[in-house]
Amino acid sequence: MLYRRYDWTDPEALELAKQFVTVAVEHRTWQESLATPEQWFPGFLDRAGMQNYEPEDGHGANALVGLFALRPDGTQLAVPRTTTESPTPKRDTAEFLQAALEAWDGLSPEERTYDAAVADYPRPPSPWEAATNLPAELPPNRVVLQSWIRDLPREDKDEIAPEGAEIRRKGFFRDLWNTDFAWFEDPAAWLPENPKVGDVYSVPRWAVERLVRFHLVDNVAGLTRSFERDHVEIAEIRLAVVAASADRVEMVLSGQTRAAEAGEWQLSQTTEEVATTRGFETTIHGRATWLHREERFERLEFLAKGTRWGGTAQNRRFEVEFPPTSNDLAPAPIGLWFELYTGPEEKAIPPFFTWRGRSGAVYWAR
Amino acid sequence: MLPLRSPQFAALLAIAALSLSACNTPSDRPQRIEAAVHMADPALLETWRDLIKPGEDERRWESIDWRSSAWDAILEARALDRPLLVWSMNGHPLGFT
Repeated sequence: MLYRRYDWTDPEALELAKQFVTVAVEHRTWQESLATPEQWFPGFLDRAGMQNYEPEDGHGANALVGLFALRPDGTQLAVPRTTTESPTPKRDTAEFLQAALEAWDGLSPEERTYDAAVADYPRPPSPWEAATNLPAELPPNRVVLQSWIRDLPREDKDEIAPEGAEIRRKGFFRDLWNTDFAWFEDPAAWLPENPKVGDVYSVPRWAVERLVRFHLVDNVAGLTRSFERDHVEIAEIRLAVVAASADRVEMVLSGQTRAAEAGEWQLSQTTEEVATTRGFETTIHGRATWLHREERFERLEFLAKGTRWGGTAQNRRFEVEFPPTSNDLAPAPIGLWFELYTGPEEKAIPPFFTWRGRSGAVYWAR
Repeated sequence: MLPLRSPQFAALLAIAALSLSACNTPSDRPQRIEAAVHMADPALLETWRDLIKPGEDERRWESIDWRSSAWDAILEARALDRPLLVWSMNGHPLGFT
């Protein structure tokens, strides 16, 4: 998200990027898909400098992530612009891209290509298929929602730093947001057989529970964990029919959710597990239009607004970090907006928890 | 996006608080539906959407045609005689990261 905020808001960088063939990858799933390198492009990740390495701080294998300008065989064109340069970019992104393009222009035709036989290598399995255990054929009529999450204003946390305080990254995380995709199969199961005006009924428990466990989580400032089924305390969404005809049904949504966990786990920048809690509580309001003949939602959008508390290892907000340092664990307002995704299918990334730290089977379980 | 400290946003919060208290009060079905309809008012929802969903200035990265298949991109770069730009993140750059 740092790159969305810094690198890709610079018009010059955006324009220069269009001279490249651009690809976005999740480094871990990509590397997992390359578990049999003899079937892929030998040495590509090594040449690109994207292989796992053991960092000096002893926190286990990691890999550089960020922007890599490469020849088609993986050889670097410029020193990668990685997150080690964050939070304040030390190099201008446009400068990085310009340097890479100049290096590219200086290459011979032979250096700008690679052995044509590579194109005949067995195509690697999709990282998503390899990592998520999703069904071979996804339900063709599945509902794909895109969610957007953002902190809501907090008067008590928007204070001016105490004089003399060492403020690291003051304001850095303000206005951060994140996004994810949510998948729901069998949308017809959300409605009764003959919905009539005035009917009120509940969205199936499995669908609401999926929402609560995997999508109503605090990822505004970074990655976090999902909730287990026994963390779900409230999972209820009601649909009220406000108009109905032979072709379509208009509904409003309302509901409540709450998930909470207590236990011991590592928080951001701590080296030990500590006794702590986390939770996410929302009220939901929205609207939906169901098309009978096409058996699909023409509209499905809703607001989930409420409170989050606690934290995990990678989702701390540094903007409120005045000495003494804090993990910002107190309850704070948060909001999500869900709507039908209408973009290209290949850019609807599978829901995060289907491929990271989970398997698709868990996500799809009812 | 609606500024978080604007008077409009403060008014929105007040409306939402009133409506939610109505929703949480034990009541019969018509009143519940009425409250749900009120909160699902298109203008109100759109205001919340505009508050939370990133604006165009925050989504400029989408103006770049990010492929989601590295293999296809590598073949394409060779075919087009163009350099590759790989955006690799912990979490997917086009989604939850």
